[in-house]
Order: sequence, then structure tokens, then C-alpha cells
Amino acid sequence: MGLNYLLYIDPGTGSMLFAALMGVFSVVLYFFREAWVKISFMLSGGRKVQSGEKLPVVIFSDDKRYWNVFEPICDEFESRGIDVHYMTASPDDPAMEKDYVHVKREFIGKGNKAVARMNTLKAGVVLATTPNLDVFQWKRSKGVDHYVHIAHAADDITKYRMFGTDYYDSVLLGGKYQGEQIRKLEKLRKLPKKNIEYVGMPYLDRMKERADAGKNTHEDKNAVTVLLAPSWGESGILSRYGEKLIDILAEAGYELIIRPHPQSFISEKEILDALMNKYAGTPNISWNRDNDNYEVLKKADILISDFSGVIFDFALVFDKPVIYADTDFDKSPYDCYWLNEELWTFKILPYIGKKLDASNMNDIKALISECMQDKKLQAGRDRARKDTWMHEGEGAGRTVDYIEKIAMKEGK
Amino acid sequence: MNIGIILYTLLLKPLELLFEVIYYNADRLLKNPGWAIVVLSLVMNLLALPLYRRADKLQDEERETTEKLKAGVSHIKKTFRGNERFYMLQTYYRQNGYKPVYALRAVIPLLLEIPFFIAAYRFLSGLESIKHVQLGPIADLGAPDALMTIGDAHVNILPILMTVVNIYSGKIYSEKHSLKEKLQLYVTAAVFLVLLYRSPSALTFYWLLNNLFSLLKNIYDKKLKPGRVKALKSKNTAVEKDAKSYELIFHATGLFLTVLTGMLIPGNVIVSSVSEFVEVDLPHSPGVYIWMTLLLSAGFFLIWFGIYFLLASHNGKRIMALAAFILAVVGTVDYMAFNLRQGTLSELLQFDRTPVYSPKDHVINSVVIIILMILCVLIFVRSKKTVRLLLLAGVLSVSILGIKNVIKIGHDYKMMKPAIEKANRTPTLSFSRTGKNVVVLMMDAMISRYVPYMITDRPELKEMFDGFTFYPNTVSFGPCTNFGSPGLYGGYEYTPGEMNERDTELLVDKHNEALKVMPVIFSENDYKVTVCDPTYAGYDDIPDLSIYDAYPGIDAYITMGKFGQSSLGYERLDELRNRNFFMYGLFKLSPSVLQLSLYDDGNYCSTRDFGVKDGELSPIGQVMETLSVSKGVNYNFMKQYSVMQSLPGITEGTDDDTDRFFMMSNSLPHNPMLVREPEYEPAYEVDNTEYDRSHHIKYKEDGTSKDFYDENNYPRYHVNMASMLKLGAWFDKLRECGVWDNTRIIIVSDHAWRVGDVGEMVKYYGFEVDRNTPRNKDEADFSVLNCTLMVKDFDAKGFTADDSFMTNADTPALAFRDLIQDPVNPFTGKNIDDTYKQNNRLELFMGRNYSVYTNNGYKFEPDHWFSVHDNIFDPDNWEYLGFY
Repeated sequence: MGLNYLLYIDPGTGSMLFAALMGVFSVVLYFFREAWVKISFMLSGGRKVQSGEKLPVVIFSDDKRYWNVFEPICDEFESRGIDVHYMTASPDDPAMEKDYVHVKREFIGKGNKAVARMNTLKAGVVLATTPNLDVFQWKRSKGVDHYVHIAHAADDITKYRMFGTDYYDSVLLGGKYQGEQIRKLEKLRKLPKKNIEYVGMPYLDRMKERADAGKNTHEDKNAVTVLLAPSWGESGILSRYGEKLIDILAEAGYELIIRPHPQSFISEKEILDALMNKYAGTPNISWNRDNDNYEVLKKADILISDFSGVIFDFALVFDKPVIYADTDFDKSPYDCYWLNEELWTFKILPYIGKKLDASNMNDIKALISECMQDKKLQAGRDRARKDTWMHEGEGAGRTVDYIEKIAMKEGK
Repeated sequence: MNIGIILYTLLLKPLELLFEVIYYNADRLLKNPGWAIVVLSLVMNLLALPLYRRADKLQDEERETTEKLKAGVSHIKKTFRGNERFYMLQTYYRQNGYKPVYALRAVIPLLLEIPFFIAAYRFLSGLESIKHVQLGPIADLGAPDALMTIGDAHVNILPILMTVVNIYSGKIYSEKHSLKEKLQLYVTAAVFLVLLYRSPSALTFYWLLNNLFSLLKNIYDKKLKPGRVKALKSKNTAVEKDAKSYELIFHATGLFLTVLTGMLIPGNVIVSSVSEFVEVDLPHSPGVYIWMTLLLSAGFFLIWFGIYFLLASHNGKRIMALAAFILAVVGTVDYMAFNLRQGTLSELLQFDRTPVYSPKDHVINSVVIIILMILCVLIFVRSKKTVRLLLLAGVLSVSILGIKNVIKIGHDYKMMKPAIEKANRTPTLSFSRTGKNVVVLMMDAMISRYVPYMITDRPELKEMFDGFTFYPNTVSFGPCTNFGSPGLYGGYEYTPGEMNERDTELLVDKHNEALKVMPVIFSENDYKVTVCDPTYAGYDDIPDLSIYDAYPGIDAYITMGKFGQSSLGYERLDELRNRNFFMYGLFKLSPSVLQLSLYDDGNYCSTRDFGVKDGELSPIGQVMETLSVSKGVNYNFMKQYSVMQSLPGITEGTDDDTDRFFMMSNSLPHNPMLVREPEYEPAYEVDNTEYDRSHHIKYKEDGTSKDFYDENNYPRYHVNMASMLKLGAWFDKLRECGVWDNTRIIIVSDHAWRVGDVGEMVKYYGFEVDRNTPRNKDEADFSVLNCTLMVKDFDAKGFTADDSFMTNADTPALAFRDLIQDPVNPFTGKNIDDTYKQNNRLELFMGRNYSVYTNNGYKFEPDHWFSVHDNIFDPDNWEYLGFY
């Protein structure tokens, strides 16, 4: 009899209870998962760090490769004599070598250590290119008044992984279509409207400046230089066409520079190593891993890439044609998945380059020469610049203006 | 107090108590346990219904939300892996205002239902009163129903019926569910059938009713009203602000009622006489009762009331807050202002007389309550701030007063503790076979007038009391122990009049002195002295034995409650107090029209106090159905009876020729109750109907008779008889030990009782002379002063009566006679003899304040005085002296 009263419950209630207890089970699992994620973050260096006094403006760079984005901005701060703190997760960030007075630079540790520091930061404004604030380990710090995101590529802002800019207070953009994309996501996700400021593209401005300055130092070349700059992942060129494409290009006598995406060296190391070994002795093939892509872009006459943002850097700054691979872009992990519309990237590509696919891959030589002669592509590039690169030449200035404005407002 | 008990008291006990009161009153009204079970099932299900509804609604909401998020969640699960998946899910949930923990919200109301089921089950399965009770075709509610017989086998129909209803109900409930869920229901129903098949029919009947209720609920939900309208969530900020205010008022009221009922009221009872609530061999502070009552109150007013408040709609919350406020105000006024005519409360929380209310009392109380209710509504509507301030003040004051009580109780108990520990020893009564033994037994309230009848009623008493001289013409100096016992112990220097003369000394000191007179004198004369239960030593219910500390020759003990009471008895006593302190609190807070139902003759709507557990007698209260039929036993009777019963066991004879003096008090005759005749032994169920038919008239040896069959006399006669028989059994033991002839025994009482016609000592004065006279305050019933005196001297034979005029203050002189030459009171230096009554006018004090806790100054509180000489049965010998 002892257990009866524990067991006894009328059937309706009993069944509800059973269903509910299953729910409890999944909740418990979820919480274990949460605890595990927290613990593993802690174990990998993510221990809480006590932050010092509140800084007015902080620039956070999670990797030195974004220095091209931040350099023009830092220069602008320096020239205006405004003190800012540049915090980087790369010990060899080129910023460290700069001769700044007003831009205080600090290496805040790698990976989760840097994230932990940022999570307890006290600052008026934080500027960063890092997406997914408050989604992954990097959380909004209670001590920070305002987070500003600046895009590091001149194309769709929805190509970030899900929730890319959702928890920023401001986003600095170069094109109206990007702003519209953000507004659509906000509406869909019932998020408060963030500030959208069209400042242009400081890093493109800087590249443009350099390109303009270097126009006169044209070097003599015997062959057409083809830059193969694939994105990474299963739908990237390397995975899909890989060897075959390289063979054709090499045989065609082009000077081929292969510049894999930095992530490829991590995610696709085996493919990459195999390719590098295979073509180690091929004289007209070289590999490029420069932090600053300026020189290589400058050197190339044509770019073959997929949906990587470098297409736009190349086409818009150097005003040269591009060939884009026909890859099945899987939108699933990205914000664009949630918006039922075609990406600006895919809309604009036919205007600025030719498509490479399995059918014309063998005729790539013809495709390249067609591209280099097609005048319509020039108009396409102008159109793209209009779309995605507003306020050309004013990016850094407008960025600093905006940050100053926000810092003043938050500081009140 | 462990965490289990705390949780039980907070969560389950309030419900069990509620069910008990519901069942008890339903049974009382409907006079049928079956219908009472129906009422119980109905109430239980109605109470659990809001919880069920809430759970159902939350589960619907949960189902709806998960449905809404399903596509997104499965996309995320498909797309991402590892930690990234977790982060994405977390953010997705966050953006959709969902937390996985919400799945638990639907469980909570369901889990809250479980205590209802457990409490009802526990209550019903522990219910003794359903045993052997017939309900329709069911022969015994306490056993499986066995309604059908196939061959030799009995088939229990109720569990089968229950299962049929269960399955049908499950079928309706799970109409739109998967086969797996349906199967799960049917299997569960089958499991219950197996598990519950052999349960008592009361339980299966109750479950059947529950299942019927559930069936109706499901028919209504799934068939009649399938598309329920979801309650809209209110986001109106004004409404939210209001809700906060109601919440505050409701919970503050809960806190106020908790502290008032759980702490202040029980504290006020205990603090007035802490020792009454301390058991000698169960030494825990009575403060425990307060904590337990506080927990129970918190379970009621904070937890369960709070849960229903949480589940209530906005409007419901407003009404509940107002109702709670009214309850607090009315309750407080009832407690503070309508406290009259409730008499004195015993340690079992029973009044010495059942409270009586006249129709006028009810009208006044009702009018006041109505006015208060109107005022409350006005204040509540006009100014919530005033309500909050009032509640704040209320909570603060009851808490301060309550804590003050707790501190005082703790302090008093601490002071008492050494005495209790010292008292917690068991004596061995050894009597010398060769020396002299003197015994003085003070039998509290033993009634002299009954003695001749008792001797005839049970003739063996004459043999048992062989050697005794009975002095019927004996008078005591007061009708209560505080007035009547000092003289008995110390002689004529300690009559109320003489004690009042020494008005610079505290009564307690003079009382203690009286208790020492005989032991000290005997001790100084090389007697080995043993004292048990010196009456009111230190003016406390638990005698303060330290009054003998200065005399190494005196061994003092407390025997009251030391024998025969199993720990079960005390556990149940604690259980009773823990329960009834709360009930007492509710009783005090309720309007007068409800009070008597709640008080229920001191039973407080309990179904349990008649319960026989493992064949043990319950020490808790006796309820007399008639003068011949009763259930239960009187707790105090048992406490005293067990001592008397144990005397032979601790008595021995010794060849050591040191003389012995043994002095003891016992209150067995003071605790009237019915015992089983003709043995005059306590029994759980007494039915003397047959015996009483021919024995209610009692006879004296000379053939004169009296009808004792009235409420005042019969239970008293029973306990006096039980006392005589127990004394007789002890005397047999003394004989067996070979110490009978060399032992002088004095049986003496401090007072008797107002036995009315049986006493034939009532005198009418024409003005109020004794407010305690049952019939007429202008009458004095002197039988209350006709105390018992029986003396057996060394080598005495036969049972004889002596009509000499005696007083109980003759006791010391009788004890010393021929043994101590010219005894002198060691404290006053005066001679102790019995000449006082010949040389002085005896001043007898008809005092009424019997409490040593209040009547404890330098003189007794003024009251009526009388005098008597020679034959006390001659009304002309009585003289009224005045009020002073």
C-alpha cells in the first residue's frame, strides 16, 4: 500500500504529468549542455577578468586580418588627436608597429582569453568587425554603453552566420541594401531597431588610395596574372573544382597565384597540403598568404573566386574583371537563410564578371580573355560601387564622426 | 525537527487537516461515512481543479510555442553542430521569448496537485472511524468490498468499476493523442487495478469518485468545449501595478495570519503556564509546539493560500486580497474582543466548561463583524496605502508579541529544566519489615461521601482496607488544592487563615514550608524519608523538588506521567497539540456562530482521537455518549492511573530496620471519566449500559441508597472507585512484602467536590456565597470541603468508621502520634498537635482562584469565609464569616 498514494493520480492528470516529465527531462539535458558550454569556455581561458576604469572608445579586433578595416579608422583618430584603445587578439597585429600617440594598443590574449576580457570591459563605445556579439562566447558587457559593428566586406551583411549583427547597437554600412537587409531581419525577429549609419567602406577607400598612388609604378609583365582566391567550405572552388581548375590554368600559361581563404588552412588543411605538395615544382604557380591582400590584388589581372568578399575588393578597387564560380551557395547557416530573397552578391555578380561552371571550365582561357575585353563589365562595376560603396573616400572620416557622436551621447 | 517534517507540515499537513475537518463535518451533518467520502472527493477535486486547469493551459501554451518554434529549431539542429548549435538555439529561444525551463511551468501545477492526492489518501487510509462501517451493499468500508462471490472467491467490484471509468476517461482524454500515449493510459489503468485491488473499499470508493470527476472533467473539456479560448495576457501597466498592490496586501495578510495563529495565540496559551505543557519524561520545550504551529499556519496562509492567489485571475486576486484583509481584521477583533465566557484552558486545549454563547452574544458579534467588513471594503477601495500600513503595523506587533512569548517560554523552560532532569528518576519504595513505616497519601479531590457506598459496591475493598478507620466527619480548609493542601501537609499553622496572617511572606514560601514539615521532622528523627510529587512545590504543576535540596535525608521524586505511558502516547500528545494549537487559533479568530462547531467540545473536529493504534490506549480525551457509554480516555487520568498501577511494582520490603516515612500525592480522583464496570478499569471503549441498568443506585451498609447516575457524580464515582481499588492493590502488595502491620497509613484528600444532593450539605444563604455552586450561587455546597480521611495504625484490624470531628490539618499530628515526642515545627518552633480545632474557630476559605500561577501573592485573593464546628453535616453548625 505504501506506494499507492504516490502512484495514484487520475488518468488525465497522470498523462499530463507524464508528458510534462518528459519535458523536464529535456530541460535538464539542456541545462547540462549549458553548463558544459560554460565550463569548456572557462577551461579554455575564459575566466572572468576584472576590468579597470571605463575607456571612452575601444576598437576590438579578434584577428589581425581585420587591420585593413581598422587602420584607416585608427589613422583618422590619430590625426584628430582623439584617444582610443585598440585591443587585439593577435599578438603580431600590424597595429603594434604603428607609431601612434593617441591610439593605445593592447594585446588582450588569444581566443577565449580575449573574449573573457571583452565580456567584462568597461567602455563608452566598442567598435568591432566580429559578428555574433552576444550569441557565441562574446557577450555584451554590462560596462559597455554602445557596440558599433563595421562591415569587413563590401557585400551582403546577411552573409554572417545567424544572428550576425542582432545585438549590436549600431551598424556602419556602405550600401542601402545592407540597411534594408538589417531592417528586415529586425522585423522578422522582433528586435529593436538599431542605428544604421552609412559611412562607406573605409578599407576600400584606403585600398583605393594606395591603388591610385601606385598607378604610376606599373611593372612589366609577360603573362596575364590570374588570382585564384576561393572561399572555404564544401561549396568553395577548392572543394568542387580543385585540381582540375588549377591544371587547366597552369597549362594555359597564366601566372597563377592561389590565395586560399585563411579559414581553409584550418578547415581544409588536408586538401590544401595535398595541392601545395602537388604544385610545389610548378614554376607559374605561387601561393599567397599575405595578411594584406593589397599587393596580390594589385598584381593580378583577373580574379577567379566564388562568393568571397574579395571579388568586390578586386573589382571595385582595382576596377578589374572577375570570374566567379558557379557554386551552390548553402544559405542555411547564414542570416540570409531567413530572408526569402536573392543575395545582392548574386544579383550583382553577372554585371561584374563571368560565371565559371562545369560546362565552360575547359574553355577557361576564352572566358578569361572575354572577361578582360568586355566593356559592359566596367558599367557593372560602377553600378556595384554605387550600391555598396557609398561616400567613397569618406569612410574613415564618417566612421570616426559617428563614433565621436555616439561617445558624446553616451558620455552625457 | 528534520527537513521531512518541515516539508510535511508546510505542504501536506494543511491539506490533511482541511480534509479531516471537511470529512468530519460532512460525517457529522450527513451521519454517513459514505456520503462524507463523496463530499471529501468532491471538495478535493474542486480544490485541485484550478491547479489542473492551470496546468492544462500552460501545457497548451507550451505545445503552441514549441509548435511555433519547431521549424526554426529543426533548421538550427540540422545546420549547426556542437557548441555552435547550442548557442544558436539559445539565441533563437531568446528572440522568441522562450526559455526551455518554461517546460517546467506546466509541471508545477501538476506537481502541486500531488499533495492533494497524497493528503487525501493519507487521511482516508488512516481513518479509523470507517472500520466496520457499512455503506449500502458494502459491508465494511475498512476492508475490500467483496461485492461478488464466484464459488469460494470474493471479487472486489469497486476497483474494477474504478478501472472501467478510468479507461473510458482515458479514452476521451487521449482522443487526439498518439497510440503510444493511449496505450500508456490503458496500461497505467491496468497497473492501478492490480495495485489497488485489495485496498479498503473506502479508498476504492473514493478513487472511483475521483475518476468519475475526472471523467466529467474530460467530457466537458474534450467533448463539450473543445476549443477553449485562451486567456489573454494582460500587458496593461495600470493593471500590473494594481496586481502588485494586491499581491503585497495578500501576502502581508498571509504573514499576519501566520504569525497570529501560529505564534502569538499558542504562545499566549503556553506562556500563562509553561509547565503544564512540559512532560516530565518527554523533556522538550513547549516552544516546539509554537514552531510546529507556525509551520502549519505558514503552510496554510502563506503557501497554499499563496498558490491559489498566484493562479487566480486579476479579478480573483483583487477579491482574494480583500477577503484576506477582512479575514485578518475580523479575526483579530474576534480574538481580542470576543474572548468572554470561555473558562480555563487545559493543557489539552480543552476548556473546563464548554463555552456558552447566548443569542445576544451572536447578534453582537455578527453586527460587529458586518460593520468591520463594511469598513474594510471602504478602506480597501479608498486607500490601499492605509491597508498596507495597517498590515505592516499588524505584522510588526504580532511578531514582536509572538517573539516575546517565545523568549519567555524558552526562559521558563530553561529554569525548569534542572528540576525536570532531577525529577526524571524512578523511586524504589522500600519499607522496613522490622522498623516502623509511616505513609501519608494525599489523594487529590477524593470524595469522602462516596466511601461508604464504595465499600458496599465492591465488598473486597473492606478486606483490602482492613485496619483502616474512616473519618467521615472531616473538613478541609478550602475547595481547591492551593487552599486545602498546605494544612494537610503542615498542620494548623498552614490553614488559609493562618497563612494570610503571615502576610509578609509569599504564599509559595509558606506552601513549600508546609510540604517540608513532616519530611524534615521524620528525617531529623532518623527516618529514611521518600517524597513523591509534593503538591505544587515551588507553586508549579511540575513540583520543584529543589525545596528538599538542603535535606540529604529526604529523597524526592516525581512519578506523575512516569509509568505506563508509552512513547506512542506522548507522540500522539505532541501530535494533538501540534494540530490543535492551530485549530485553537482558528477557533479564536472565527465568528462566535462558528466557534462551537470548530471547538467541537474540545475535539476540534478531529477524527483521530479515538484511534486505537497497535492496541494502545489513546491518552487523549474521553467523549461520553451517555453516562454508560464512552470512547477514549482522559489523558490526565491515565497519567495518574499509571502511577497508582505501578506502585506495587516499585514497592519492596527490607530487613533494614531503619524507620521509613513515605509521603506522596496523586490526582487520580481529580480526573473524572467513565471506566469499565465492574472492574473500574479504564478502557478505550466503555459500554456499561447493562451493568448500570441495575447498579446506578449505590448503597451504604445500613441500606440507605443514592442514585449516582448524573453527570456530576457518575464519572467522579468511577475515578474514586478506581483509586480505591488501586490503593487496595498496593496494600495487598504491602501485605505480601510483610510490612503491613508495622506501617501506619494516612489517606487524606485536600478537598472533595460539590456533589450536590449526594452530599446533602447544601445551605442556602440568600446572597451570593459561592459562584461555583452549580445550581445556585446563593447556595454553599459544603460537600466540597468534606475531604477524605482514612487512617490505618500499626497492627490495626477491621474497617471501622469514626465520627469524630476531624480536619485534614490533623494529618501531621496523626502521622507523628506516638512516634515523635512533642513534635515541633522546625520553621516556626511551634508545637504540632490536633488541639487547634478545639481551641480556635476554624476559618474555612471558599476561595475560587485555584491557580498557583495567579493567586500567588502574600495573601490569598479575597473570597467568602465560613466556619464549622463538631458535626459538619448539620447545616446549623455552619456559619458565614464574610468576604475578605
